[in-house]
Amino acid sequence: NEPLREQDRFLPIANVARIMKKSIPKTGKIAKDAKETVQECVSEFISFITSEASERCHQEKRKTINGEDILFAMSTLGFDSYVEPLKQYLQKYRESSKGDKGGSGGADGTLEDLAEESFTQSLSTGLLTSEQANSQNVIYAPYSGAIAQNISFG
Amino acid sequence: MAEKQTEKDGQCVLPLSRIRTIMKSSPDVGSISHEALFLTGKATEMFVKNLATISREKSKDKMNVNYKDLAEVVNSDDVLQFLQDIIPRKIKAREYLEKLEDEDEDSS
Repeated sequence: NEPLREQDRFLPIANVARIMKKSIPKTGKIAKDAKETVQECVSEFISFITSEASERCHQEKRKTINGEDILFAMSTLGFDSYVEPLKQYLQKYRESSKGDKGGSGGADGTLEDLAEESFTQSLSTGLLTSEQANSQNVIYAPYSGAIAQNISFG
Repeated sequence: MAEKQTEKDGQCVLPLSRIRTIMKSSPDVGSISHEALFLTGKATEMFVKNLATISREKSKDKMNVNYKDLAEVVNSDDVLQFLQDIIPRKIKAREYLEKLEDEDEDSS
């Protein structure tokens, strides 16, 4: 792995500051060094969770880190209180991506990221047959379009 | 209004591509599912909010978030131990020199 450029190692400070502001009174201020510090902490947090999740993934001989791995890491590392709210957010996320056409192929999404495990978790319609699910690179695009055609609204 | 909230819950306000970059910089990380990425993003949002909230709770200054308060929180919580190198408690130069002197005395 090449070392990341400075600007890639952290989340944008504006985003971090915006989230912090939601937790303080409207007239409150966040010190500049506090913002920068939290920005660094965030990257550390992400790496911390990722390493733990990745380890579990390897132990189970899987190549793709999935949602369960992240939740497991949170719990193992002492962020147990996050797990329930995260599960609820996940529920909303799944609901909101159901209607998308080829929803998983978003800006960051690449087909190689859709391995079997994450696939069977996120698809609740069960349209994919077991033969398709077994192949490493599943072509995702057409299925949600097919559903939309079959459902009649009002 | 309630609808807007649920809309946000299914989305992440942090840039997922950057989160992905950071995740991938960990050693031996293979692929990352979309759900894993989303959950990491939401967890990060929660983490930032919590840090700010707890800092204020522990601080005498209930309005603002200062470095000192963050350092205090991180250094007094076991779960946040992984952050201790990033947010060391700042001490005055004089205190540091005094500490060094004490250590010298102890070792001689």
